[in-house]
Amino acid sequence: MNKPIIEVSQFSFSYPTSPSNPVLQNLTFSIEPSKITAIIGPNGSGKSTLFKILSTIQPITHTRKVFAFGLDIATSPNQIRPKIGVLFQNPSLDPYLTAYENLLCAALLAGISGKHIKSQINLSLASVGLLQDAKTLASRLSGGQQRKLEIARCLLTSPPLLILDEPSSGLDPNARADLWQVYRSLTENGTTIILITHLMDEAEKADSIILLNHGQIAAAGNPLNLIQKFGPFILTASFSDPTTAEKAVIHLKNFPNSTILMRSTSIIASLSTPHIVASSLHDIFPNSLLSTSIHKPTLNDVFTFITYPTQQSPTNNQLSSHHNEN
Amino acid sequence: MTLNSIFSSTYKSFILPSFAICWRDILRFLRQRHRISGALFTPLLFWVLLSAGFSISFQDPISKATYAQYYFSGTLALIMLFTAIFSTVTVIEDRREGFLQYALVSQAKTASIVTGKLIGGSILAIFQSLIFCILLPFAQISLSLHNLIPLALALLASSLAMTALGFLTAWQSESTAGFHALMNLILLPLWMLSGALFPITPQSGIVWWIYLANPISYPVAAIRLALQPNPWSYLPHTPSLPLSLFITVTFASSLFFISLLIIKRKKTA
Repeated sequence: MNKPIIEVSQFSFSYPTSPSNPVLQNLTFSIEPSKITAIIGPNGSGKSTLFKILSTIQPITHTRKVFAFGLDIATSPNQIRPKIGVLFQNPSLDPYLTAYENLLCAALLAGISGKHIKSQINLSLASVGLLQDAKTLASRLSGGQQRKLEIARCLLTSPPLLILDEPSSGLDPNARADLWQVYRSLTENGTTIILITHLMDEAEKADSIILLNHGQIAAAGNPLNLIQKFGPFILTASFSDPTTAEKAVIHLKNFPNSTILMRSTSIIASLSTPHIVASSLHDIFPNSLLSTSIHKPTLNDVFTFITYPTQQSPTNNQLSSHHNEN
Repeated sequence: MTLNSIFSSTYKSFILPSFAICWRDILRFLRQRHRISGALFTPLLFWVLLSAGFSISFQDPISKATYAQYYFSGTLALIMLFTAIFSTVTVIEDRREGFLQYALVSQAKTASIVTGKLIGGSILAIFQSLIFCILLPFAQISLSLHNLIPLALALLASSLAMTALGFLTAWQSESTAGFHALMNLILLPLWMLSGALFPITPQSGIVWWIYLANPISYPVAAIRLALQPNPWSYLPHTPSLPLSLFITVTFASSLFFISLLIIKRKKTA
């Protein structure tokens, strides 16, 4: 088995400005080489902080906790940096330079020079299908092309690890599909990709997932395995009022192996016999039940079940989560 | 570590990145024509209008120059200031567009980013000043060979100082609007009180002391002296050319190191 590219062991982090408020707590995980790992989580879960730490933007003081390529990130960021390609959430291209000039500038910043510079830039552009747009100003490229150009820039130094922060934000489905083709061809050639995303359909395509919630790892593993834990079916039911929804939750608790989540006037339940349950809901709440739907679980459901707030407000009875494993 | 490896490392992490930042800034500036016109034509317009307006009523009590002659060095300083401002405003844009973040996580040394910005801004400022120097005959200023070295030194030192000042101001600004506010509040008054617009003598009272403490006074004085028939000679109530050059270069170097410290602190914060 190949040695992990990233190894994190019992790592906690808080910003120096608020030391009593840990953003990341007791993280332990590893990133396998030549795979795509998606880091997902709700807003404020610590994704961005983890991105900054792994990409060496955010210095850390705790040694022997986070390793990249066998090097301690806390003590050797300068040695690690050349091995990482970073794609920021906000576009960082120069709109007044052409695609080629943007890469030339990046190449010079990375200390690349000599007669191979042109061929290296062209190779990077070709790897994302932008060679024919080399002379186009970055501002005139589409959103998807700009993202591809940024990936091409990451590839200039042929880094073994790419860390991409929300690479698909603002892109249409076709552009996203194109990007995934690029990711796959890169991993086939040995590149490891860490993808920070809030798009569940995108994370579902990754080889493994790390789901962060409140700075902790709430779930991790292969997306299919995670999804199967919340199966085999998901029932969604909408009611006319929250009181009926609460009664429905009590009713659903009678069914074995159910995970139930109440969201305002609707409930989402993971069940093994959803058709029987749906039919019983129609019988018990004929006037208040507005609709029911049954589908195979997705990563979106996993995300919702794990990260939906479980605290019940004393004044607002709308949020509640129940788990029944009779 | 051998000398060869030190040079190779410096070349890759300092010289190439500095060149990249400098080249990019020049390219950006040239592709934004409004910046060229803003930096060159506004001071030019000021020079034409003010020279016409004061042509009868003004004569420099020190050098007996006409206002067109007197204000020529002030205009050159203003062109440099404007060019430096327009080129260093990219610091704010770069921060907004994320380029600066990218540059800071690259393998480039922080000093290379500051150096690249300073050299790029200075080249543009000198280039624009030289364009304006085409108008020297219209101001009835004639230059001889022995003006060339003093003028080159004065333009070089002044452009570095103005760009360093612009860079530091831009770095501290949250937005381009904030930068323009700082420019109007600090940089333009500094220019106005540098002897660029009107002669300042010990009889000017407190303004004289402000003039002496004002770091912009020295680049303006250096340019003024460089345009005199004998640049190295003494001109009453004006710092000498060597002193002006020395203070200007010291001022630029200080700002360079302050910028470096601020960026490094920000990088590790």
